[in-house]
Amino acid sequence: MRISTLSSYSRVLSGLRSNQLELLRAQREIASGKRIQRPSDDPAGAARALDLRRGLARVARIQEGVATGRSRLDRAASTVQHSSELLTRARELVVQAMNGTLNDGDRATIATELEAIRAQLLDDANLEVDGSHLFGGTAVGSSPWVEIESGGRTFVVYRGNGEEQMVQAGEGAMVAITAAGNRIYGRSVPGPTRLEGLTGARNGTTADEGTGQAYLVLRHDGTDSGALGSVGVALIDGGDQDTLLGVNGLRIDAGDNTVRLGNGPAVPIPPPGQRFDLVVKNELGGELHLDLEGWNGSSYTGTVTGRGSASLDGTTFRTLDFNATDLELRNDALGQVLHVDTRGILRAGTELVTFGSTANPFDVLEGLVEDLRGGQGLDAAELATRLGGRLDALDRTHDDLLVGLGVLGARSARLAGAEQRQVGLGLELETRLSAVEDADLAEAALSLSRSQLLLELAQASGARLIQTSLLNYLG
Amino acid sequence: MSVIGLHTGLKALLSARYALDTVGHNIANANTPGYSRQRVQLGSALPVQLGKLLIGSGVDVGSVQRSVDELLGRRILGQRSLASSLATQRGGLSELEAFLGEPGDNGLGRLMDGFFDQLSQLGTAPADPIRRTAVVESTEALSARFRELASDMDRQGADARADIAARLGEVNALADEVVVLNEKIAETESVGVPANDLRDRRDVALERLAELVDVTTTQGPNGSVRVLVAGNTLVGAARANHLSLDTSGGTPRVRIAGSQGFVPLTGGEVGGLLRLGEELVPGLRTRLDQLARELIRSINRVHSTGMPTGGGFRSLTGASALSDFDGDGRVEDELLARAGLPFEVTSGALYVNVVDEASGALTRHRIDVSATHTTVQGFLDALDGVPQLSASLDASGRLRIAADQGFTFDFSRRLDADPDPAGLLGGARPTLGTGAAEPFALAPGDTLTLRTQSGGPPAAFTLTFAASDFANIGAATAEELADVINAHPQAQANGVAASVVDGHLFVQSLATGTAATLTVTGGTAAAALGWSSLVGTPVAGSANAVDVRLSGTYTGAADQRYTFRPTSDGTIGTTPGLQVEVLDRAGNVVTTLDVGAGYVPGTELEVAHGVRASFGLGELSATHGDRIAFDALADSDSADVLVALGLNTMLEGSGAADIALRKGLADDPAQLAISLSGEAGDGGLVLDLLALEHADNERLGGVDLGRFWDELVSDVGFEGALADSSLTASAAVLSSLEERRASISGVNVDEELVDLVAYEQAFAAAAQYLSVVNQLGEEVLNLL
Repeated sequence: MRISTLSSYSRVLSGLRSNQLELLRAQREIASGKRIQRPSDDPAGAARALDLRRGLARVARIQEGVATGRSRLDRAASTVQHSSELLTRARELVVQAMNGTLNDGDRATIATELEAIRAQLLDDANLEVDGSHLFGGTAVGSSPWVEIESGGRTFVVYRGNGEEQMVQAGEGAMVAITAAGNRIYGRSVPGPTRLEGLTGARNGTTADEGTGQAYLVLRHDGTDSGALGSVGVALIDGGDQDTLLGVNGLRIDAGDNTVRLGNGPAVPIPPPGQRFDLVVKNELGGELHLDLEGWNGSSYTGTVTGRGSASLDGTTFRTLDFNATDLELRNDALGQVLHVDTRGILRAGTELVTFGSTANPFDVLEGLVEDLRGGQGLDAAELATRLGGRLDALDRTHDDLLVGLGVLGARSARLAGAEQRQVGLGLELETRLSAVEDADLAEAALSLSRSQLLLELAQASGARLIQTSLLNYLG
Repeated sequence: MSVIGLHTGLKALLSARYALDTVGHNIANANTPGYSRQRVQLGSALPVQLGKLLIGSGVDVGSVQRSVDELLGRRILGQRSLASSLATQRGGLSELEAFLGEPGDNGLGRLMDGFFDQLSQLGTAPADPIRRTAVVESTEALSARFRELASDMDRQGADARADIAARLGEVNALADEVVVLNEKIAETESVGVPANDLRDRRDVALERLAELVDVTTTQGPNGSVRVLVAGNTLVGAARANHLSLDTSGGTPRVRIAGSQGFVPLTGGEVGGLLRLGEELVPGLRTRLDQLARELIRSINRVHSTGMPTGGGFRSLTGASALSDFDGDGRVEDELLARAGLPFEVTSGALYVNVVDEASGALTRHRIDVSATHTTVQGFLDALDGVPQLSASLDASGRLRIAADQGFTFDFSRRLDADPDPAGLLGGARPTLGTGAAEPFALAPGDTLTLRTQSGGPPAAFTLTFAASDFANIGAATAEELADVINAHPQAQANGVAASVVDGHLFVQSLATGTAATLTVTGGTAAAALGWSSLVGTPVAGSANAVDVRLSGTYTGAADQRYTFRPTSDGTIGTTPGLQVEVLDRAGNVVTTLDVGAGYVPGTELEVAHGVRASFGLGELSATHGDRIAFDALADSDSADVLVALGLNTMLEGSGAADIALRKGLADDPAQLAISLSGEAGDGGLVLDLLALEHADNERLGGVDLGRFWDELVSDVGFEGALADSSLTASAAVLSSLEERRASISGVNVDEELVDLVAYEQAFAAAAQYLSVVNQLGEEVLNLL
């Protein structure tokens, strides 16, 4: 076959060119570390690489969301932990206050500290992180726990909601990263309304409506002395100082020389001259003030009736009819409706009412402060009872707080597990992406040196070919 | 004899000279492209007869011939067309690959991921303004990339068109040149001289032509060549038909003079450019548009039913203008589905919520939309008919909705927290409902006597039902009955109102409390309404209205309507065994809620699919037909009207060229409507938006957004790789063909040098012969 000179030159040229191209490609692959520089290098591989990159982005996204969620949950948990410590301190203080040897001043000091605890606790519950309130459900724009005045007292009500903000913790797995405040502070547990039992008021037949605490105020409006006058006994100040309510039996026993109201303790009648303002109490402590100076000395059995009225909001009073089994009382400001069986009511006073079994700790502490400052004129025994009740309520809210803490911790742990899984998934995807996309450096290096060798050979042989001509030998 | 000898010697000298000249010509043109090696054709001259002797008279120079293989030449032309078409495509595809920037950090894929990343971050703190801004920025980056890609592709299409025009100019010039060369060759060869170098020039022109378009050549008379382009004559007997570019149809097409149709070019640079500009780039551009469009549609579908941080809207103006389809100058008479909106309107329903800002009370209105019947005016009227809303078209044909002072509106599918504002389920008003649903078999002239009392003296009045008030009085509907009652002056005067729940008629006295009563005292209609047994029995109001509250988020797949009705009479939380039945739209009992003794009023109970309900204290009465119904929506805009009209959307535009973040969102990211309830901390729609990333989309051929993009990128890659490998193959064929041609037509300098030596020696020998002949002559002369 004939070889044309031009084509042998151009063959040398194209050989050099293609070897240089190979060299360049191998060099670029090594320099970038990527096998696929552009989609046409490996179209199927490029599509797989894009898919894997998207998978990686998704993993990173979930990781970031999970991390944010965790930091949020952990922040919430540490706050609740702090609240729990506050409640522990409050409990110590209450136990201390129940010690009968304390005087009013000591109790006032304790009250001041409890007040400070309540303020801190409210700050905890209204925790704001980056402009959003952590314990408001999805209503993060304003403080979830709001103070409301009613009947001269301050109550705290929940204004957040019970909704939760979820975060994606994996494919199809959602974890809530918010906590509704009413499931942590003052969780409302379905249950009957609790009445303290100070006055003898009992639950009515109809259900009640409301949350938190309230004070049922039973007021003494007057005393009907019955036929007491017939034995020369009169009421002091027309009965204004009495606190008894309802129909009470009254027995003056001339033999024992005692007076007894209802099932209360029998009170010995002092000698004449000291018989003005004899105070007799019924079994619940309802007081009757008697003037026995004019007593004719004969025994008496009859009834004394304390008239009264009741109120839940401290302003609207309804007259008590001691036969009513289902008296309805309302506090519209707090959305509370209470039904009271009035038959057992025997004394006036302020009865502590707890709706739905659990009060929130703010109301409990507020009540404690009021109790310790002697706001409701309870005697030592009554104070001890009430403080005992408060302590129980405090313990219940503390339990709820710990339950809430557990929920937060469990969610955080779930997120931590999700984070781990995502890290594993991410590694796997990275490996697969690398297999698809990354250059095999050993192979690339080999191909680099091979192309280099080939290029050198082509150059050498080309040079030789070009030099070879008959002309060199013609004289 | 000596004459013959001299003559023979001269011819030998001359032929050696000619051969040497040709060798020189060959050596001179050894590097000339398209040059074909020439050979002097030598032949022995006819012998001279001298008596019985035939004496050879030397050599004759025939003609100078080109060494060519015509068939090979034609195959090379075809292969050259193919190779240059592929090379052009490869160039364009490389450019496309560079635009796409995939796989890489600035590719659209990464930006889409970034957009979803930011959304996901926002989901963890929906009220955070910094995260909102980040979402806005990533959306802008994504849409800017879309627009950039669209304009890059458009520019590439335009460049391809411009290139085609320039190349066609070159084709026409070459065709003209071939015509001229044809004439010259015919002229030269008519006298019997082969026009070797003219033919070479013509071959060069034809090769360049083949690089530009796919040509076939046929031999014409007198050594001329005819050139066909895709079956059309480009160069005929004496003239060339010029090609021209026609871009009127949107995609570039080539026409040829003297013919009506298009020339279906596939080969050559022009063929390659046509494939790029007509098929590849527009195809990718269409798919990019599709992707952008589905992104806009799916994001907006979710976003349009969301609520911004601050709650509902006071006014909204659509982004898309309605247009006059039938050209009669009015927009209002168009079908909504055919009023030039960028996205289609389907048959379905739009729910509009109107919220009283002072009380927070929500009223939900359903607007039915039919793709085949709802006109723009009809839709406007329906929106305008919603109390406290007004709807109009602005000067540019965009829909504007505004709420009255003190009201806001939105399109959220959230549950109505207070589903019983009228108190039809144990409300404070004396209320009497029909136990059965419509129709009611009334007779013309039927009466109903009602008595109301609230503290003061009782008031009674009688309603009379006339046949004219009903479409069919024998099958009266609850709505018709309610209309008759509400229109009655006595009813208005005595504070009696009627309402309807799911075909059940309710009559209420508007007074509240236990002292308020409503009594059906008689009337012939009482039986038809199912109230015979209640005649004369007063229905009393209540001090405690049962406060029904809904919470949670409906998670069902389809829209649902739930009905609550008590199964007996009693007091919430008190009466043993008191239950509320929950019915679904079909009337099946979904669940039964225990609200009797043991239930603490106000406690939330699970209803179904994430819906929770709580009941406040109060009395329920099955006897009096207590019942409420509420919507639980899976989609509050199943007609896609909001997307089509561009109301409360996140993205504007309808394709890759105009996709953009909605104006106003960049300045005020609080307007991002990702809340379902309007609560600041509610990012209820974020998860819906995130789900779009994986959602397989029918309109994208059943794949999700990301995969659609992957496929697009890898298809560009496939085209590129295909062009690459075809080009390699074609180049190999071409080079082997050219090598074969070179072996026939090419100049080998060594060979020519050998010829040079041979002819040089022949020349010397001839000269020696002449001198011998001459000597012989002289010697003879000397004899004389």
